Amino acid sequence: MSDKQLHNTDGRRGDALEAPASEQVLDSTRQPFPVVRLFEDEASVTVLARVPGFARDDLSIILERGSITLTGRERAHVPEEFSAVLRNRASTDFSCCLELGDEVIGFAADARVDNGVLIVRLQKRSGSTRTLIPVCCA
Amino acid sequence: MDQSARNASSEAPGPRLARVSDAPSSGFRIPVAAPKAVSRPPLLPRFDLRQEFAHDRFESAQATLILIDLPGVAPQHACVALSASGVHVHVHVTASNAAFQSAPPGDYEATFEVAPGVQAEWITAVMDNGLLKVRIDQQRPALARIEIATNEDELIWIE
Repeated sequence: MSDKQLHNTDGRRGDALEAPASEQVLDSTRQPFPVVRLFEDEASVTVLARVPGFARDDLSIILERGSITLTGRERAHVPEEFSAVLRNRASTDFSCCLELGDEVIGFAADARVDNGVLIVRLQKRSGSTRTLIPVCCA
Repeated sequence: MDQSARNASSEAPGPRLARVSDAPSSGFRIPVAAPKAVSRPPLLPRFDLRQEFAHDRFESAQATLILIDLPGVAPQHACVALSASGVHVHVHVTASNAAFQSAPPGDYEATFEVAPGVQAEWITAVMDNGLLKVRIDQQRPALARIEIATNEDELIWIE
């Protein structure tokens, strides 16, 4: 993707590896959830949120006054008779709000879920007052 | 190579490879087929899947359940295979939509130990919206109860 990346909540998964069988415990070194990225080009802003295990019906999106709120309710993926041996997935119910600015047009948006990635594309108003300033190399 | 040698090499023991079923979220137990013919190149040492993709492991008296976050990975880019050393999960991350995915392009693999004697038919794998669910039963799953409607709208139950 050639768009300019504005924001990234991603972080490398440090040493959240599976513990040896002798000391398998519930792992507490989890990432924030969901990982969200914003991309911008001249005509639109794209929001990507990694939400593995969430179907379309589990997610809701609210656009309001230049901000977007993503909400997800996690379905139960594990039958009751199972007990956790190792957990380092961060998946959980979530609600996160991102400021997008006044340039975004709420009614000109589309959203889809593609293999556990929520993709929201929002159109910008024409005649934007923001100017992208290229950074030159010395 | 003579005919007998060719036959021997084609039936050499190796990982039994199966595609991950792409099923709706409600479909949990999808049998993993285990065709004899391997349609992909042999599994080779690759990046450790567990360093890039978070996973959970659950156990019960009868089964083990492994959940792996694979956001942005298409179902056709994930494989599950059973060999003597355990259950292999192999994921191919493409460069085309790397921005959607949590790991750089490449091949990732992890092996999960299972109890000895587990058969490929006892393993089910489902890709549910970027979440890979691998269930490994410790014994042959009970046969499903199948409802058959007759012409007279009577029901016959088959155990």
